Amino acid sequence: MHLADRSLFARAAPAGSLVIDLGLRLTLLDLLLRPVGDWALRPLILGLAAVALLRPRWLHQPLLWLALAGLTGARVMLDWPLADNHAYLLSYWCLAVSLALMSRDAHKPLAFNGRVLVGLVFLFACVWKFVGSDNYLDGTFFQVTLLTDPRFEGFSQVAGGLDAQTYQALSEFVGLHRDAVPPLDGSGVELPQRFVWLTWAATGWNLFINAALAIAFLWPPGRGPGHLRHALLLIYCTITYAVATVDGFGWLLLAMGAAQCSVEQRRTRLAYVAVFILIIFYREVPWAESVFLPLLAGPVVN
Amino acid sequence: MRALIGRIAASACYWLPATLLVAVASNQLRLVETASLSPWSGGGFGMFSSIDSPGHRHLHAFVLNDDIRREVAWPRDMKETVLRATTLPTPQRLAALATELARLESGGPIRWDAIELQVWTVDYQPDGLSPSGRLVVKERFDLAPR
Repeated sequence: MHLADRSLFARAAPAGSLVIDLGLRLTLLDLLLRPVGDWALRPLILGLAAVALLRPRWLHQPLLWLALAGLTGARVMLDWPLADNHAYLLSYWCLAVSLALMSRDAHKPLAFNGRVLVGLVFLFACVWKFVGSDNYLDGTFFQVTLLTDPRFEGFSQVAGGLDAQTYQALSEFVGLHRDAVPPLDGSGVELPQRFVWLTWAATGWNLFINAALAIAFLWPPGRGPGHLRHALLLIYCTITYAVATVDGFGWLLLAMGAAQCSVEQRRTRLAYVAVFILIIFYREVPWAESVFLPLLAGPVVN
Repeated sequence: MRALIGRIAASACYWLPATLLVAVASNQLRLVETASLSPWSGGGFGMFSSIDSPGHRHLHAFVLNDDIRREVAWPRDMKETVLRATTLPTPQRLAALATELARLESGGPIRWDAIELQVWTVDYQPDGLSPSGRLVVKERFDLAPR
């Protein structure tokens, strides 16, 4: 590819003909559905995303995507060190799109970046889960997180078999501590067995799927585990974002996966769209609290 | 040489984004080791892998003189400043926070000689989840005499 063939200011080609369009559009939808940035950056990011989505000629404009990369990168720097991981990934991805659109064949570099960036994300996640954390492998991380993070309250009760009272009591126990005072022997709490099994299952599943994704996406495409990458990513997003409501991250991963699809992979592209929409439902329908918990509680007798 | 630079620039669409990711993530690993950065932060993809999240960290601040040691309560509008300082408790960030807290405590009848900041996180015993605080960083800053 030659940078000279397309410059930042080149007239954008009509959209719709490039196989990467789905990936680009899903990225823009992510920006619109999960706005990012403070009061100064957000209107600019939203405006650029809306324009690119609505005006096909702007969808392939490298300068627009470079501006998005700059604005999302500025957001990370202004939020330092508080920005979530996917804030960084969003900026890298917008940069990848901009650079790809400057090349002769945008699909090849964009598909490459989609694959390698996703692979590296899960590689570093594996480094932390397998080696960097001293409380992940033994299940302590999920035991504490499911009891202290309010986003998991419904899931903990439904899947962990905890009634509201037990959940409240356990949550209060793990929420109290005294600094500089070591815990007394035997001062711990007995966790219900089903809840413990849930945390082990969550730990084992996440170790497996993170490693599988890292391997599949960093393996040379079209060979060995590389064949499984789309299926693994779709399964990961379907399951993970039903529980962990970090929808922006899920949408971004799906956009990056979709950008790797060839024209022939029609069903795979449809699957990415379907899971993208599924995550919208996950966000809007509190399925654990509103559907499963009332079902498990049974009818109310007056 | 110019041809080489041209080839590197032309191939940037392949290597630049991934190189940025690896550089930032590697730097995050370094900061966790050397500057007590929370593993959840810094672009290293350590979220949901460790209990040591910014939400589990908290700050204790004490003003001191020869006779008295008193804990400082800070106003709500300092919440984000405190969060940034506890997430990445470098000496510079803690010094800036100490300056702000000292200003809140100045002007009263008691003359304070120093302010001490302690950043804590919470550990849990694997068997029984008994929580206990663990000191991450402690720094003392002398205050200028009035």
